[in-house]
Amino acid sequence: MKIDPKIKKDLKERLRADLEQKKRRITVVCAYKIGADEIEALKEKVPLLKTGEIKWQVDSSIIAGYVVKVGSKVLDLSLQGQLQNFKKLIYGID
Amino acid sequence: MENLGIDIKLMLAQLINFVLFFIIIKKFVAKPFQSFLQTERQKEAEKQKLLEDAQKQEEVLANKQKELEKKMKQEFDKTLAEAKVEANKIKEEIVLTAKKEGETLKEAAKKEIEQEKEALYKQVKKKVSDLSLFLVAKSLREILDTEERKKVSAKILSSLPKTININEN
Repeated sequence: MKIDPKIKKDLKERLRADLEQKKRRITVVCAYKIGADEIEALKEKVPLLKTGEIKWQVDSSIIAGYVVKVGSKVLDLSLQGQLQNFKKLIYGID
Repeated sequence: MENLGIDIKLMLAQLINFVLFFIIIKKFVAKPFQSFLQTERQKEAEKQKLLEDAQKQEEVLANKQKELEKKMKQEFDKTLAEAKVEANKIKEEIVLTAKKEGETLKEAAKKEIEQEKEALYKQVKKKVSDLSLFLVAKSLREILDTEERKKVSAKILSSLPKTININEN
């Protein structure tokens, strides 16, 4: 079955756009409702947050700190994450 | 002669008779008898010789048998000694092999025990650390209020480097 080259091109464009959008999609998770000054401080530390639209989420399970998700990447700055790292460290000690 | 009572004719006849008798006896009786005796003597001598030969052969055979028996005994003793040596060698080899196998099994069992011990230790360690961190996380979630969480968040932010870059590509 032959696909019309125009449709094929449109599909490719659409997929590329979706991918770009996904890449730009930023989610920040915090243990509480984050304040404006804290957002600014966070943006100063993570300049990428200034570039795109951010979706803010509250999840008390992270205890404190932040989790920044950009596309498929995750920057874990939470206390829960630090505890997890600590746990890995304990596993590594004989 | 006739006065003496001797009859010459009779005497002559008797003499002739005796001579004839002697000749006949000699020719027909004494000679075959002598020949028979000679033959018997020869036969006897041959028998004796055969007997002696047989005895000699018997002696030779007996000696040979003795020698053979002696040789057989020597051979048997030698073979027995060799067999004993060989048996001892085999026994030693078997013992050595068994010992080696035993050592190998012992080592394998020891290794297995060590591995199991290690696995158990790791498992216990994992459980203890999981439990400890679970308790810590749970306690922190329950103890920390929003203000304290903000303080902790600020502390985390301040401990970070000046800027963090996230590369998506």
